[in-house]
Parts: sequence; C-alpha cells; structure tokens
Amino acid sequence: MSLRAAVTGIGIVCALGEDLDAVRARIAAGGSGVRPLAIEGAEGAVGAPVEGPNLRPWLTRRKDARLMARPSRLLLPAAARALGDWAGDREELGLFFGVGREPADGGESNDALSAMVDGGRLDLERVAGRGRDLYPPLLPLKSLPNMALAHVSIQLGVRGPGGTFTGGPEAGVQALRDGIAAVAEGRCPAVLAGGTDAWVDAGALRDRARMGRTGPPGEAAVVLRLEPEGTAGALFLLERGRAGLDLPGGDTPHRAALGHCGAADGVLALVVGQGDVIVGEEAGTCCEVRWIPC
Amino acid sequence: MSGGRRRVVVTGVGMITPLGADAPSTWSALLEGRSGIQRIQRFDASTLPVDFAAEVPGLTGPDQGAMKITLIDRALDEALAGAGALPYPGERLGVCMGSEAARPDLGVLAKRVRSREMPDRDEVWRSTPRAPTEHVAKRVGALGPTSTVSTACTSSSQAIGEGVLRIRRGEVDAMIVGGVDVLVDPVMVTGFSLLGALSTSGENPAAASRPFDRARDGFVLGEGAGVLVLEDAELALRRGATPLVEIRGWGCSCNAYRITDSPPDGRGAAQAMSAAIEDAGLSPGDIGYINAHGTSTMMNDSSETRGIHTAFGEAGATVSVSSTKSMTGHLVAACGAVEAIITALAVRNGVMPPTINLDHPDPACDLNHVANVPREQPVEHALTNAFGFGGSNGSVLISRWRG
Repeated sequence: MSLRAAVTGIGIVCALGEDLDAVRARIAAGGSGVRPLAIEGAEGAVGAPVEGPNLRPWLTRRKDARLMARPSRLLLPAAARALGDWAGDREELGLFFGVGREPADGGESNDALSAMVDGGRLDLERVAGRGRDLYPPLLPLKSLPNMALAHVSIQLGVRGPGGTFTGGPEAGVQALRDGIAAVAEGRCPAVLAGGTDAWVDAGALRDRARMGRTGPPGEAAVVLRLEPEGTAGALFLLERGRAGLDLPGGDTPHRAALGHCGAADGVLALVVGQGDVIVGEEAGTCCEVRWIPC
Repeated sequence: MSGGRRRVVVTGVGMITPLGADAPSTWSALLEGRSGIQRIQRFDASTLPVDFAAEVPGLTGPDQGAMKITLIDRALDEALAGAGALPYPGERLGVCMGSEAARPDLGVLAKRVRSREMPDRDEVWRSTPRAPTEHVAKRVGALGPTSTVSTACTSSSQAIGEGVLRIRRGEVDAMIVGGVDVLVDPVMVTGFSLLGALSTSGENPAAASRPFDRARDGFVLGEGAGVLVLEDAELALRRGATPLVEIRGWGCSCNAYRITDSPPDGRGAAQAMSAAIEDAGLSPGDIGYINAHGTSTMMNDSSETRGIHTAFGEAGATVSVSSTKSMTGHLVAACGAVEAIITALAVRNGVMPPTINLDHPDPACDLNHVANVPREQPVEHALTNAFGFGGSNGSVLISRWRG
C-alpha cells in the first residue's frame, strides 16, 4: 500500500529568493542564482549562494544565531514558513530533515589549529595550551548534522518525533518519505520534512573538487508541512515511491539556476518542478516520491 | 503478524567495544563489572585536559574513517555469522546505520593547514557519515532502501527504529542496522572537555564514569560498533532461524530545550519511552528493565530519572535500571546499537548488567538501580534509551521471543 500525505505548507530558502512562486517564475524566465564566488583560495569558482537569510523573526533569543552553522540558518526560516499558522499541538508535530555535508567549521578553528602547530607538526603541548584557549567550545556541537533539526525544534517549540538523515540529494527525500509515513500511519498529526545543505564555502568546494563533482554548487533549504490526506487546503499530495540502490537517479533540471544543493536538492526539484522525483547519487540509495495534484 | 502488523525479530548481533572484540566477551566483562576505561593509548594525551577514555584496544588506521570501517566490519562479521545465511534477494534487504562524520587526524590536519595539501577521494568518502552504510550495503549485497541517521548519541537507536518500521511496512524482509563511532582523538577530547561534558576524575579512570552517583562529573568518550540483523519474524522462522529477541516498540521525540542540556523535567525522554511502550501495546508495569542512557553527567542522569518517573508513574519506583556506560564509556553514535544488543542479551539471559561505581546514589536519581553487581531476574520486556546532543531522544522496546 502506498502511503500518502497532503502538503499544506511550503518554505524555501535558495539563491533566487524565499518565495516559491517567485523562484519558479525567475527560473522560467531564465534567471539564475549562479554567480562568481568571493572565496579566498577558490578564485574563479562559481556557485549559487543565498543572501542572508534574516533569522530575527524566528529567534527566541537573538544570540542563538551564533550557535547555528549554515544549514541551520537556512533551515529555520524555511521550516517556520512551512509551519505557518498551523494550530495543532507542537508536542506531537514531527520533524524529519535531510542534511548533507556535515556543517562546515567555517574557519572558526583555524586560529586554534595554527596555534597547535610547530614547524608543520602537531604539538600536543600547544593543543593543551594556546590551541585550547582559541578553540571555540561549542564547535563540536555546531558541526553535528542534527543541530539543524535541534535549532528548529528549540526555536519553534516542536517536541514530536524527529530524525536527521545524512547523505546526498536523497537525504532530504528520505526525510520526506519518513514524514509521509509518520503522518499516514497516524504517528504524528503533522510533520515538517525536507532538506538543507550548504556547499558554497571553501571547504565544500575543495571536497567537491576531490570527489570529482562538476557543475555549480549551491545552498538551500526546502521544508514541506505534511498532514493527513484529506486535510482541507492541501496544495498537492505526496506519495512514497520506491527506495533502493537499483533505481535510476538523475540530474535535476533546477541545478543550472540554483546549483547542486546537496541534501536539499531532491526536495527542491520536487517543489520547483512540480513533478515526481527520483534522486540519488553515485552508488548510493535512490529515493522516490510522487507528486499528485489535488 | 501481530495486530495486523509484521513482527520484527533480531536474529544476529555483533559488537566491538572497549570491553571486548565481540558480543560474548563484552557481555562477560559487563557481568564481571569490568571497566574499559583507561589512560589513552593511541596518542600522548598527558598534556590534554582529559587523558583517559574508553578505547577499543589495538584499534589503528590512517584516519577515523578507516577505523570506523574496521569496527563496522568486525561487528558485521559477527552479526552475519550469528544470523546464518540470509536468503533474501538484494532488493528485499536494506541497511540503516547511525554514524557521524569522521574527523581528520589532527596531525594530518596540522600539516595541511601549512601545506594546503588535499585529502584524497577515498579519505573524503570515508569521512562522510554515510560511508559505513554504503560499505555495509555493498558487503551484504543490499539493494533495498539504505540510509544513514546522524542524530548524535541517538543515531543508532534511531537506525534500529528505522529498520523496524521498514520491515513492518513490508518495504523489506530484513534490515542490517547499527552504528559506529570513533571519537577518541585530541580535537574531540579537547572540544568536549571545553564544553564541560567530560569527566575530569582521572586519578582512577576506571571509576570516572559513575552514572547516577552523587560524585559523577561527566561522561567518558568511547568508541565501538554494534550491528543487528532484523528480520520479519515469519520469514525468519520459515528459514529455520532462531530469533534472539523481538523488537516490539520504538519511540522518539525532540526536547525543544537547549543544544547542550536536557530539560530538568525529562519530558522529551518521557515522551520517547511512552511512545515505545504504546507502540508495543504494553503498559509501563510490563517493563522489567531499562538500560538507561545514563551518561554520568549531572544533568542527563537526573533528567532521565525524572523522565522515567513521568513515563512510568508508580512503576518507576520498581523497574530495574542500569547504565552500562559506567563500563563501556559513551560510544556516541554507536551507543544505541551496542546498548540495544546488551539489552537483548539481558532479556535473553535473564541477567541485568550493573551500573558500576554507583557507591552513593544521587537522591535526584531515585531509581531501582542495579548497582555494582548484576541482577539475575527474568525480564520479559525491556527498554533501552538513547538521548542526543541537540535534544533528540530514542527508546527501543525489546521483548523475549515468545513465538
């Protein structure tokens, strides 16, 4: 039996803006968010970075933004917009997200690392001395993939079931599939599900080059609010399709305009293309969700 | 089928921990009350803020990613040997592993800061959280759904939950689930000690991890891997396998509190435990044993205690509770799987492993502790908890197999 859920809210943060209709219109008109990146050590590289986003409307404490790595910063506004004016019990609202690359250090530990090195070799006494003084204490936590979900949970007061999947573009779709199942099986009255990823920092560009990836990188978060089939005001329905290693994964057409957005890519393809998606990467799992108009 | 849904059994387990290279040796050490925590051997930690941890003896490799693959391979070998030949076609077999990214060796990183030398393609792949999942899928020939869960200390508990749900839905006939982590390196030791999360009681490392004790002062970093073979019960029996235990319930929740601490009232933990008990169609009074998350931090242990009391009501005073992290240390992304295996063995053998170093139970942790020595008592149903940084909670309900 195929499990289905209704999509009742959408939040998007990408290089072409934070309004889905406007993003689709810009892409249809040939617009692109891909541009030269101003990153030291990656001169000449292009990508599709996001301006902002502005987190203030959704932060319970302004200083919490400092604890957020890039995928968390992208995810929070997308999740908040997808949640919208949902009036249900947030104790039961589920959160399922795909997060791709482990949130990057962003250079925060560079001073500490430099202070730990003597003549190109690690000096453990320096690690315990100046290196320790310079090491950002919250860095180990900031760089965990599940922190994106944690920040959404904390800032929006959501306490239901949740899970973070990591991987390539299928990670966000895997999260969607879990969200659809949680709603269809009655484990949650509603779920926020989607993906977030950021590939336009220096470390990510280096990793992409090493992995032989081509095409412009991007960053984005896309979140859908899922509720039981039959919920009034549904925008469209989603149905869980297949998942496995023997499915054909493929390119997604939005990449020319928004770059490859990693774990957000499959969900981005779904909402921008308004059609079924099967996504995956290399020899990894492919996941499918089907888009059904209401 | 039970109540119209497929039942899920465990037919093979494998683990490698600081206490032993397989499940029997780890289990024996737990019953002996032996600690796997000692001075760090892998590198000179004498100048670091904490110089002890729970290492897997003799574990080496060019980087953390390679060590994770070594660990998961050994746990997988043992689990597959126990389960026997799995007759399922690749597309009916799935994999879900709990794993975090592997950090590059600090010495190598230091060299790279200077030389701008790049890691090679294999090292980049090995460092991704999904590397153990893809490795396991390739080894067992799984072509069904595979995924990687990264929810810090809840990761592999959640991987088990994923596996159970996929079998129940009929998406697959069997799942290889589990988790792996390697965190004992200078950056992690420094980072977690700066957070104030690690025990600094280094005079006697074996006594440093003391969950629920008044004198507890933090957790001890560990490493290891655990793998479970989950199967549809009917199909497992048809192929002649002997189920070790049944996984009957699964629950998870978010705390919406802080990224570093658990809420003092333990509400998220209570929610996960209650969800698992409800999923199993049981009542709190049916549960005989809880393998607690019990990290040995002041906050976790008192919060978990409150959560147990909230979820269990009156039965919270009588259910037996222990934390095996007192001996294994905290295996982070692997702890959910390793502790699920320990719980399965407790149910199967009718013996609950103890919390060692529990000399002066904290009044804020008023539970029926299995303190310092194992407790022999038949256990029909047991819970194993895993709670992660960022406030993700998972609880797996394991039952004696009754056919």
